[in-house]
Amino acid sequence: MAFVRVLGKFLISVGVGILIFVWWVLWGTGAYTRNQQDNVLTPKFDALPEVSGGDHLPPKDFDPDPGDPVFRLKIPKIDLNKGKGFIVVEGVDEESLKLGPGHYPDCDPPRFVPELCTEFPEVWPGEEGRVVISGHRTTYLHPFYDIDKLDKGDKILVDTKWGDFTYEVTEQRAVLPTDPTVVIQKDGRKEIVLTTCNPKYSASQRLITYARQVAVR
Amino acid sequence: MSEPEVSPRKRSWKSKLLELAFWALVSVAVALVMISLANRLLPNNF
Repeated sequence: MAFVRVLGKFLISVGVGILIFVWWVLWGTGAYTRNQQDNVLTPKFDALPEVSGGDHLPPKDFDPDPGDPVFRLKIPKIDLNKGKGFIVVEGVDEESLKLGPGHYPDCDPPRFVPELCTEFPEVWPGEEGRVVISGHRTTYLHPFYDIDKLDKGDKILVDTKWGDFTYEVTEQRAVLPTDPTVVIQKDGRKEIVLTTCNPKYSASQRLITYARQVAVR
Repeated sequence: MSEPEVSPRKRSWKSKLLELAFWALVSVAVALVMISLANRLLPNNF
């Protein structure tokens, strides 16, 4: 009888431990991302020099390191990060995505494993092609938690040091995680592509949101 | 003849608190182990 009592208490303790883990996954991880966004990335991004010139293109030598802040992303419809938006960092590796949404890099020079970069030249806002951004949907402040609420025509705002760009959502679809077509450019259109896990609390698919550049200032 | 009834020994509140602390420690240990294994337990880009 005493054994059953001890076993019961042990199992209850393990259950409470699992609940603590779930809490950490869903909300605890967000504390790390919030601290990085507010206290590290935002000051670092604000300190980057403005790029002069009217062509609204990044400097030719713009080559950020993994985890460096590259631009700010705002999505008014879903009130991204309570309206503050997120600082997007370079890279979509595990460590970079803990900091915030990540800009999909190219593999040249080889700073990332081949699965986490593209053989195509990476694209920046203002350039022709697809700017691809990945973000968490469940953990690490879940930047793209509500992204399925976006409709055609909704605005996506990108503030860079070489211009502020406005995109409009054109399409949203779910694909398999292994689908490589997300980064393939069909033509010279200026697009932004947001990718995240789908459905919520699962990683069986990726939800892809396409948006076309409609304005720059 | 029936055996004489033995009344359960009443535990002090200190002993109960100590046991509660022990089980709380077990819970925290389980959570910490799972957090350290999170990269293996959770899918990528979750």
